[in-house]
Amino acid sequence: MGNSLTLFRQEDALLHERVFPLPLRERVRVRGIVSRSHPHQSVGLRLSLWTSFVVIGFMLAAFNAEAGALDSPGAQKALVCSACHGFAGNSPGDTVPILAGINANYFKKAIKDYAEGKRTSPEMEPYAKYVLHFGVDDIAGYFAAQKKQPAKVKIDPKAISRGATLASQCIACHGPKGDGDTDKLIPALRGQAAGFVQAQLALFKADKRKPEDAILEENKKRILMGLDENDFADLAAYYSTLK
Amino acid sequence: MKILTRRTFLRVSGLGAALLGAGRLPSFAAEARRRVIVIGGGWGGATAAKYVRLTDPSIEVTLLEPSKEFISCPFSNLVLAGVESLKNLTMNYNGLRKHGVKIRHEAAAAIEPDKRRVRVGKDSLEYDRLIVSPGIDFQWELVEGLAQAKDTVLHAWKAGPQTVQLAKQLQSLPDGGVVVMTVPPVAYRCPPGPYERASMIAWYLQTKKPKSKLIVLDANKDIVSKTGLFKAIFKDYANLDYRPSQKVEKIDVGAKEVTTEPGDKVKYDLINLIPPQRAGAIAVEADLVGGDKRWCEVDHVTYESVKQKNIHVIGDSTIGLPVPKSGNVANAMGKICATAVVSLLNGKAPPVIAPGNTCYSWVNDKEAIAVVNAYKIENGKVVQIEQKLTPGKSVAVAQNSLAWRASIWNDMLG
Repeated sequence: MGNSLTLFRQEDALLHERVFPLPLRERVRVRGIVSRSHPHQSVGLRLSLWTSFVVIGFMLAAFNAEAGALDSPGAQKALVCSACHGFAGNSPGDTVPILAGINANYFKKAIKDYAEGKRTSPEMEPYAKYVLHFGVDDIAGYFAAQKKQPAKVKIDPKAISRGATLASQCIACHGPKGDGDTDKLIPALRGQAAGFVQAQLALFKADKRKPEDAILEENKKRILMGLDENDFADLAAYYSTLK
Repeated sequence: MKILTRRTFLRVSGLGAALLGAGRLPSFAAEARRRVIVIGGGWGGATAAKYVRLTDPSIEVTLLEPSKEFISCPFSNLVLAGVESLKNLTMNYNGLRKHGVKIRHEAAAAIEPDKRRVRVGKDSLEYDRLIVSPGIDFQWELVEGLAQAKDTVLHAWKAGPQTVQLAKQLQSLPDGGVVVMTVPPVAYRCPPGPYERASMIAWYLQTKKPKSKLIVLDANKDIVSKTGLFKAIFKDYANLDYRPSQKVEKIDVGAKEVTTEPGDKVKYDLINLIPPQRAGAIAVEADLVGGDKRWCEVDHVTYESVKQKNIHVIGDSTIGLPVPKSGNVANAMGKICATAVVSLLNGKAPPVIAPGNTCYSWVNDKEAIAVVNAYKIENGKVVQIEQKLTPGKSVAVAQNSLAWRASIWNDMLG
């Protein structure tokens, strides 16, 4: 039983939640959408008092319309993504990556790799083709523009501290704060869903996922050779909580 | 001189948003009257109500849903096997209220398309656009003896009290007792659902009642969904007896026996009869259903009914799109329909977007399988791009299903 199984342990978990311990309902609750454009009611009554501010209102409305939820083509084309990846790409599910704030070029590469089967995922292959069909540039731009809000998940502090020590090996490529390197298409790990990061590390080690760059491939192999499943869980715990 | 507080500033900017969102400048009073009513707070309706508000907060949205709580049908088969509790599948509607959705926990009594009104109790509510998401109802009359016995012969095909009752019936079944479950003819809610249920019941019996067996009487010629995967899984359950082309015609609760279309008589100790289905009653009564009197045909881009203007139908009660009647599809339809409705109310062309389907089935207490479908729009019609199945059952897929539910429940209700 590796650390992966103790990461999210719940006291009153049911049988399967002892195996997959995700504090689900809690996360559904805490991860309500932050609505920037909350309903405004009884607007009409005070209209006369505030006519002088209508101009400001229009300016702000124009701003809202741009920053606002679903007006852009990218937002509309990404509507189906939120079922798994959360509203604006802020996935509350542990094994599904957060797409909010993702580098657009990295997103496009990932979509291409999934569509071509270079990265194998029964879930992502059809959806990658969907994204390519409807317009990967719009969708990449939409997710890149969203603010990342990492899920609030209880994680064992000891796992985080073990992960922090192990992460010294990752800094050279992923940066001291896990921000990645956009030029080399090295992904940001900061605040990423722990279960997803852990699963990707396992795929890399098993050679089921490969970086295209030969030097990166060499580095990856050298580092991952010395790490096991428990280390992956610790690393994932560390990066998921990195602010 | 009053100081401009954040609140008043937002109030005024809200007006700006209302006017600007409309893309034209009519009188404020006319704008304030734009109303959308949503009938049904399930996977489709709850999503649609939320996303209309997210897309254009100047539109008034009223959701009509008799239940105070949402209970997820997906994962309810796990409750039958005792590996999940109904409590974990139950959520309230407070998240929608935070988005400004007005919720009336009442059933819509009737739709009056000509007057653009929905009758609720003594009230008549007017709408500019109506979104109907009534789910399914059962055709009790198609199985002889079922209408009289429907309180004791459980379907558990709408998650809730019947789910708990059926779980209790399974628990109190003597070891060696025979369970019979029946699969209705297509189309019905959740194509792989009966086979997930069969797997979970077989797993439960294998674990807790090793002398018992499960007989599955399927009205269809073969397993309807994830066929190859379920066939392999059924092989592993020695206690599972799958019989295709066995449509249930009659139930005799006294003799504890069902009769199938070929004339076979099958005895049971415990029956789970999933009846034939059609669109929710309100859709039938409002004449939104087609010639089959069962399902509603819609435009594939806007989900507007082909029979009634300004009425949109989403979720399990629709037909004609090459998509399954799944929660994930209903959620996608809810979002797409919401943006279409907002566009139409604002005099814009609706975006051309297709749904997607991610569908997990658990097959024991730890493992699951999945099917995923992506679609596009071609000549105004939904067309499949690709379908992909998991290679087999796995723990990883089961884990993904838990991430999926956390996300999609939040997408609907958060």
